[in-house]
Amino acid sequence: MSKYDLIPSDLTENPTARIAICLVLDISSSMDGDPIEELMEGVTLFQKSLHEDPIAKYAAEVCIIGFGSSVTVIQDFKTVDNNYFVPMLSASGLTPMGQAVSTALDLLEKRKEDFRNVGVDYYQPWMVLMSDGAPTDAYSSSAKRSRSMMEQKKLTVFPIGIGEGANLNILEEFATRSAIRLKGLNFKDFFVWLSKSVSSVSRSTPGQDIKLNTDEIKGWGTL
Amino acid sequence: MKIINFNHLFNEYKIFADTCTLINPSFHKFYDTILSPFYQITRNKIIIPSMVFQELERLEKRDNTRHNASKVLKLITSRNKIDSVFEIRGEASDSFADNLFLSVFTKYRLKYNLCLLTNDFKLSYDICNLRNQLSINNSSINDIVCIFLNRNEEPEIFNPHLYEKKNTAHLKRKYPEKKISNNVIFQPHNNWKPGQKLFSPNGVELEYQLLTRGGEAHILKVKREEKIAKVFFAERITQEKYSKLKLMIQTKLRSKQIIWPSTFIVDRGGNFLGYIMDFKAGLTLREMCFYPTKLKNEGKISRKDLVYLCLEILKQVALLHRNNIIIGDINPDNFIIDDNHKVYFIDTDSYQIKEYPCSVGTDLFTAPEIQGINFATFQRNEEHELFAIATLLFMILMPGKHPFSQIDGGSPAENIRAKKFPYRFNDESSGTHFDGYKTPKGSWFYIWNNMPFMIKELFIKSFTQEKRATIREWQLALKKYISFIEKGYHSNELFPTTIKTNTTINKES
Repeated sequence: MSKYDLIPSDLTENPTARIAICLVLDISSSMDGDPIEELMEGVTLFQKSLHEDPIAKYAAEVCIIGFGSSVTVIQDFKTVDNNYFVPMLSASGLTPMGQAVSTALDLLEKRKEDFRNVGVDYYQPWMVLMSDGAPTDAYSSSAKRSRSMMEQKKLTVFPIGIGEGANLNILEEFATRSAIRLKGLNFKDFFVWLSKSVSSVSRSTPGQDIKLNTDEIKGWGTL
Repeated sequence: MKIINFNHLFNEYKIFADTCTLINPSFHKFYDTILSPFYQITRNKIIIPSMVFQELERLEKRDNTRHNASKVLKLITSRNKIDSVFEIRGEASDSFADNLFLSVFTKYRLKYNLCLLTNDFKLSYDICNLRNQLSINNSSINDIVCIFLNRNEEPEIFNPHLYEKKNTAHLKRKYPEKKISNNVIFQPHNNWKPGQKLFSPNGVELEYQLLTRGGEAHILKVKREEKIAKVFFAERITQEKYSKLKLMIQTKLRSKQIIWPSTFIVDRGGNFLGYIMDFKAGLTLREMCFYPTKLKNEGKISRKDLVYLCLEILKQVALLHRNNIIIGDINPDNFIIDDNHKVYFIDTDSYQIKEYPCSVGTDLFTAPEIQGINFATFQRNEEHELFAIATLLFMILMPGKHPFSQIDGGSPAENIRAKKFPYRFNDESSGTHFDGYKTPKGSWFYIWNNMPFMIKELFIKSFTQEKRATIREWQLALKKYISFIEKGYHSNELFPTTIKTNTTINKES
């Protein structure tokens, strides 16, 4: 009977269909100062908004990965039902974007496997990739992997450029959608929009296509 | 011409005066010969809304109306309060005068006989129309009359039928028939924006507060009433939606627990914008029952409560089915549960009624044979509904867990199509076997294991066989489940942590 043993964990206790969201954030030295502060506030606001949504708080699982002097898993996948983590980000080092995305994709795969092993329904996961520059490592294999997952509808990728220095062409290699450049340091609006999108997805059916209002994205970005 | 019995009028009616009568040059003769003398006998005052008084003050400032306005203002204010024939009434929230009369008359027509002194025929017509409404029992309405001063400066009772004849062209457009729901015209385009005025079909303005923007409409709270208004976005208004809602409004359901469209809502021109329904506060079924951690932490709900909840829902579903109405889009966000555990059905405008299908739905509650088909393109039948009902009951009894959620599962749609029911079930007599190897981890196995055989049997029937369990079968089985819990044969625990051990009970159930 061991397979039925009661393991009181979030996976076995919470029957809500999950939406896994991985935030892959640039914390290289160029982000030092205001950008990193604003980014932290944005990420906190994102989790707070999800926590305040009666359905999304049980459905959304947030993972945070930073890339700078190294690739760091700042927070592994967790729901925001009880509390949420306020990340302490500090900017330094280069921009190992390729390695960061590879780590993110591995974690997403692992999480999906957890869902399948326990018997929890899940939606297509999301990956938000944010950078103010361009990768300093070999990124093409992870870009290819990410893009092909998106083509197979196994992942939704949001490539986001921060400020004028961001290389949108490279960011777009990770996805089948256009990258968006954030106006100034407008992280707040982006994360509010992102949390709204998560809650609208958590109200629909797992496996259905995510209908996102791309017009709204254009509203706060500049192209 | 009928002679007006003013003695009767002053004794039996509440009398109101409108601006156009007050500034009529012949009003003073009317006042001296009729109003004042009858007031002295009956002490029944003529009511003037403060809006009308303010309008008179404005007219006093204009050259062409200064004389008459100032004369009547003097008349109104000359005597002290007690001796005055007039009584001014009003509230800060009053809207413009025409609407005010309509709303005041609508409010008091069941209580008093009402009379309006006005020379505005359009307003008189609308006021007289309040007598003809279908929404309330005609016999309980008191009389409503409008009196105008004719060309010979004589008071005359307004006859709406004569007016109708004279103004047919204009009226055809506005009042095709006398039925209240037919007063509304369908127009494919409207440009209503929040902040603009809204009216009931009889022209009463509705004050409102914007609650939220939904997928297809603005949701508004009607002020001072336990009512919600749904005002569709212009691009979401279709002839079909209008016709369907008209049918729904005409269909009366004998249940206060089904929040059904009650009347239309229109713009100033009488164009269809949406409808009004009752407002109920409470938690959605999802918020109430679908989060095991929350249920455990709160500890307020027992298994018996869940079974009762199932029965409550089934009662209303049975009523709908008797009326040949199919819910269609069954989902945990379309049920509201109040503090007394009473269930209310909301979002009912999507229900399938007669030739109008329910055009929405979710994979989770969709029977395998109709998975992937556009809901707007076909009529659901009772068997489709019974699949959704079984899914809903399962997700109540197994708090929040979908019946096809399983280890190594695909998407819910794939699992439903495959009829891969993941819980263990053995019935030698019918040769039905499910091994339960893919039962999801957690307490789900124990909950399933502790359920009576007859309940499990109905789930198996509904999820894997041709003929699904009927509402009646569910009601009988669930009532028995309650008695089993009361007798202690079955656990009242929400989340049992052991398998059911008493085999004699197993047999009985």
